[in-house]
Amino acid sequence: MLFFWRKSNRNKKSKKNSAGKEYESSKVAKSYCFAAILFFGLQSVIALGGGIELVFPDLPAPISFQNGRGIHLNLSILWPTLGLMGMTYHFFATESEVEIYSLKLAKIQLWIFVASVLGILGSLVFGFNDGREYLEAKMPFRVLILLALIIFAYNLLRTYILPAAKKRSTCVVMLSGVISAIILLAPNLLFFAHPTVDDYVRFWVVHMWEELSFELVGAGVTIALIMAITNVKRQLLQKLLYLEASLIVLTGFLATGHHYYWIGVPEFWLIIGLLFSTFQVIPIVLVSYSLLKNLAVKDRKVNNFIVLGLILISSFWHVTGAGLLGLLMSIPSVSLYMHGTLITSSHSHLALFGVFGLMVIAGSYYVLTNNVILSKKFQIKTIISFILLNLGLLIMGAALFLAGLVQVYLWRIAGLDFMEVQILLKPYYIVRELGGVVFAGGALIFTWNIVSLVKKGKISMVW
Amino acid sequence: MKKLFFITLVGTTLIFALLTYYTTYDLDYELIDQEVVIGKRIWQKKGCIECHSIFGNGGYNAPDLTYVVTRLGKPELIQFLLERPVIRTSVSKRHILLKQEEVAKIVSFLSFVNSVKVSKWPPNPMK
Repeated sequence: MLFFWRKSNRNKKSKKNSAGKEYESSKVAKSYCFAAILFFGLQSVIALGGGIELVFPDLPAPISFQNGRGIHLNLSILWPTLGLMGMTYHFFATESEVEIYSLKLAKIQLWIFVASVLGILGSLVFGFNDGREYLEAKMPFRVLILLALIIFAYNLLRTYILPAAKKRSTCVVMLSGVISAIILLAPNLLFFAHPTVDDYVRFWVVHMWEELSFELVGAGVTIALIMAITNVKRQLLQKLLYLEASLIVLTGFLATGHHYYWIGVPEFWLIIGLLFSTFQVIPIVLVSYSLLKNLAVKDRKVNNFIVLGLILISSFWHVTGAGLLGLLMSIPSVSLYMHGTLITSSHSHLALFGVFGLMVIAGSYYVLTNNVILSKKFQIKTIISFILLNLGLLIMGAALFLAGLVQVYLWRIAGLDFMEVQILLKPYYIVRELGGVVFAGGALIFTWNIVSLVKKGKISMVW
Repeated sequence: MKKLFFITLVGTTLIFALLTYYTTYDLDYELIDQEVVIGKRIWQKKGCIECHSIFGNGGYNAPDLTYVVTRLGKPELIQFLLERPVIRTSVSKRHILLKQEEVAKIVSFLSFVNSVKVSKWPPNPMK
């Protein structure tokens, strides 16, 4: 502990951040990350509301369950995307060692995206639901999100081709991720008459945004972040990154098959899905292992234990909640029974928040505070919030997983009526809600901590 | 290594595009009439997918509706949607309010879903 405090005191004398120069681009990036954290705080409260409805269904609710769940699902994708945009702008600048091509465009993009998120939340509150999971946003808002992503890719590409810009692997991988997200979202602006085709295309956002596009962006950002907070050498990580990125592309595309087992498509997807789902574990384990191996070296220097700690915890959820549980669910004979139960819900919480939520929190925290002198009180509160978030996540994930097992046994195998089983699941929904309270506690402490820093004027943001 | 990445990117995209073609070219599109399309639009507008699921995808707080037309039969299903019985996990909450024309169209849509050939799912005795 003493070593840890000494390290943070070392920053007192120098104004420079761990990555060296502070770019104007970083100030715009901070606005993105701050907005993301605010939406995250909001999400934790809304999620509590949804969970309460399942415990006390007769409580009068201001928003219907359909619209509330739509809000929850959309926020769960949009706030990490917003944070990832901020992290990408920051690290694209520090990696390329130039300012982003157009800060004006970056600001316009920010406002388009934030306006879209608010619009989506508002329209869902008033009942305008487009009725496809994760894509409940009505057409105009999906167009705006697409527009924001196009501006994003254009800005990053223009930055990359600047003569003064260093051509880094992290930047190539980040940019590829962003471009792929655009291509995958575009068809999802349409209406599909055939429910099979609808689901087939829908998973291009629901699966490939996470396991291809943002996995790529995340890989680039995480490597850049590791280099910023430790003295791990670039050459080491560069080769690893391209290998990891290639595996992400291959498996990200073809493991989509594990969503295509039972939606009415040809059976070749059962084989492709299983095969590449097993391969998906390779990049996850490869990165976690090499990260740990590189960190456990004798003269390794770390200047931000909080951020590093959260990245490592996120790797844990990546291997277990996303990798192992996901792999189990991808085995067709297992999926036959587990598909369409709360086990999926457990997996989505552990994977989506455990991997991307925590990655974006770690990265946003770094972007916002890397050149600020943080008090011990602030750091302690941050650590407490991280403990609560992970504890809450564990409780929620476990409760949903066990509830899912009950569903599998009683509903799928024993053949009981679905709603009869649902009545029996109430204790699990109660435990899940309690986990949610712990989680929301962590989220709000973290959010308020950052807000108080902004209010004190310590974070130089530009929007 | 950079070359490997771009070759993988382009190659996998092409393979996936090919697989997409083979997946979608031979589905039973001719069975989809106007009723089914309008029914799907209403189904989407009402947000049914948040509680229910189709092909096992959706919410997990209400029954999967892929085979509900076989399970209940059209008349009983229509009656259920019009009568709006109390949802069994609660005391006073009723199923969503739907107009008669909307019910007819949604049932048409669900009949089409029922006819889609899904390989071995769900396992008995759900069917």
